[in-house]
Amino acid sequence: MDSVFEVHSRPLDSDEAVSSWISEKVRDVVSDVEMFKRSGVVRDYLILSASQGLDVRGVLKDGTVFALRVGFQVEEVSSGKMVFCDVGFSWISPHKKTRRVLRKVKDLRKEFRFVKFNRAFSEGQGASILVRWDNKPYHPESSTWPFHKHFGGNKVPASASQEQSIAGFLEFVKVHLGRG
Amino acid sequence: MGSVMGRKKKARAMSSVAHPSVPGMGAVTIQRTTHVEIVISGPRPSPEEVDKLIGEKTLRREDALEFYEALSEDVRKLYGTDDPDELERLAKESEDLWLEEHVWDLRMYHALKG
Repeated sequence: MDSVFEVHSRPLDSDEAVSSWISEKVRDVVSDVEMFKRSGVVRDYLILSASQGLDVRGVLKDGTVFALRVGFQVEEVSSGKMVFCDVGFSWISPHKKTRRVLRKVKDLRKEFRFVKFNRAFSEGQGASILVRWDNKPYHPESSTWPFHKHFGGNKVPASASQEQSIAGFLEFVKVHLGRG
Repeated sequence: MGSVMGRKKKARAMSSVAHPSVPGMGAVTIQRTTHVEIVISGPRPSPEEVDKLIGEKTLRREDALEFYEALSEDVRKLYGTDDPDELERLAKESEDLWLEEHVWDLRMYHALKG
């Protein structure tokens, strides 16, 4: 699987090339999420936007709601344009009240109007995890620079990321679903 | 990805283990009693299928705006403002990743609004 964090080895030379590269990356991620759905890991998902970034909201097989956000930032360098990716994955673990909500609402689209990814909701309703991978060259101390990861909700230092691809998303899902 | 689609579930006792995806974060432990092995495989959707999926799965603009607007209201209540720049400054100062996510949502909201 290609890395979603892949920065073009050579700077891109035009806006069209940047746009094409981003479109291809969006397709890669949607393809991954669809594979998770076909394998039964993801019950269903929606795309809020796929134009200037990708914002996917979905439900895992156990009712856990997740958000998968991919942002792109283009920076001018001396020889062209570089694209940086920022992938955020957060979920709210199933909680009694959450599960009630999810059972009650049949329409997945309506579901998301009840399940909001705000701090008050997540802290009030049970465990929540947010992890974000990105390749902005912010943390030179990281052994996998520029790839790094943020884990947790607040004041957690970046740690080296071993998952330099969207497969990292799956790793977290696997651990989550394996908690029994 | 391999060629077999499906999921195998193995029930086996496991002790409390460090989160395998968080190197160096020994304090984060997860008590697991069941190990689930998930295999994600099978044919990947073709580019044409992916384009079709994006079309089918993407919310109508009005629905997406309504969703982001609801988030925006929550952010206003929680942080006293929904100005992305101000919130981004707050997020950086406090290293608040949740807030950073909200900033991301708000920027998508403003991009959609045009």
